[in-house]
Amino acid sequence: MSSGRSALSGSVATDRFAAFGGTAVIAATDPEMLPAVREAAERTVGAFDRACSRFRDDSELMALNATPGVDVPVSPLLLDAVEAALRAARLTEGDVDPTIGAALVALGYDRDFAAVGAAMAATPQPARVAFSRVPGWRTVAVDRAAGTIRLGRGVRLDLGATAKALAADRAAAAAHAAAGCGVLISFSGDIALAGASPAEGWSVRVTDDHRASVDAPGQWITLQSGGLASSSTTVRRWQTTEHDDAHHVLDPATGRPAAVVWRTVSVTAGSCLDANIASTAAIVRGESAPAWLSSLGLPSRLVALDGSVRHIAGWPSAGDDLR
Amino acid sequence: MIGDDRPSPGRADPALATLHRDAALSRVSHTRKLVYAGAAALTGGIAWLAGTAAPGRTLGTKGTQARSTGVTSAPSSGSSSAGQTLPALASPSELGLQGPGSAPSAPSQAPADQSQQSQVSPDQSQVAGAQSAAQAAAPAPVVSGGS
Repeated sequence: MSSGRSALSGSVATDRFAAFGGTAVIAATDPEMLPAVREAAERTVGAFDRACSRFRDDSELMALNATPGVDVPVSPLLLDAVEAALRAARLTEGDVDPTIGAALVALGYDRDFAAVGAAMAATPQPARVAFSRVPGWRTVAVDRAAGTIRLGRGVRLDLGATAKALAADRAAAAAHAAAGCGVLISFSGDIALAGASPAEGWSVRVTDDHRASVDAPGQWITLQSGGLASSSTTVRRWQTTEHDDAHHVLDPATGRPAAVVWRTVSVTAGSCLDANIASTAAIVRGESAPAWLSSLGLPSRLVALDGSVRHIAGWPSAGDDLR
Repeated sequence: MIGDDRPSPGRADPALATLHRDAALSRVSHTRKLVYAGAAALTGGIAWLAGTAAPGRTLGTKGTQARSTGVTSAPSSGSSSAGQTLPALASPSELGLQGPGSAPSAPSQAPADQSQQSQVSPDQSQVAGAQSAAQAAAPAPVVSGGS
């Protein structure tokens, strides 16, 4: 990430394409360089998808999940992604844990989310879900020197909480290196910046759902550098017999969807990855999240279930539609 | 009986007793030497075995690694010396979640025209020639929210 100097004029060009089951939005401060930004972003998306997808039979992650108990040689990219996930677990004391894969599958989230709802609707009596604490991130052994990863028996990784954010950071860095201008990369609302920002900063609308229009209740903010991520329990919800309305943010301590204290948490940090780690952990931590985010000095916006909002550690309160 | 040199019944011959004592001491000394030699050999053997099985490792090192990196090392199924070296010093990013260079700010005025731009379809938003000038008029319409 750059220092985010605000030295450029306001000329910004944008583009969109499908990525990670959602939408990627890219922006460049030099319109002429937008194709180069897109090429770098698409290349990053493709590499992460092949390495880290839980929904592609040919992905490296699927092969790793299918081979527990042995040292599996993996690509440097998957190694980086797993190490990023383990770092997230360590920094959040296990509240963001990549070993939730089996728990998500047990809840029915075993395919791209667009297909989950249809599959559940087609199943008259979904199987009863047995919840239990996830195996835990310490069951994952990474040997960087050997380039291998070993999973404990019964462990299945899900890198969804961190891989997309890491991809945004990598794409932004690659795009900036290729284009030489300021860039913004958003993968389904996980935003990474690189290079000099526009003079007025990057303007972003923060709301519950990244697919919402800019008219949805929320707040405009401007960013200069780093990353922004939002985690929400209002999206990716589906029906189960145990939980009428399950969501995708699981509490590793129980294997169940986290109790909903905050419907949406948005965090800015030095990178999109760190922002995503913090926003996801905040959903899991519930009541204690504001104090934790404040102690870390991470500017954050937390929207409670009733719509009330808290602004933490320097996040502006001006202009927020919610109170 | 005065002048009788024969040992009285029940008393050992002093010379024979001395011989027995010296023989016993010799056996004790020999046994001790064997024990010392065996202990030394056993210690050496165990040290060699431990050195072969886990070169470069101590309990202290292992504990430090677990605390400093939090990443569990792979079981020592291989003998790669590279995998047995001390862990690298933590990078700044390993030390904790890093805050942004600057906190977000509220725009001086809501970018009203962004709502129009956000509705532009992907193919329309492609920048090409003169179109880019029109598009460059406003910052990127980006929405962050749950995904």
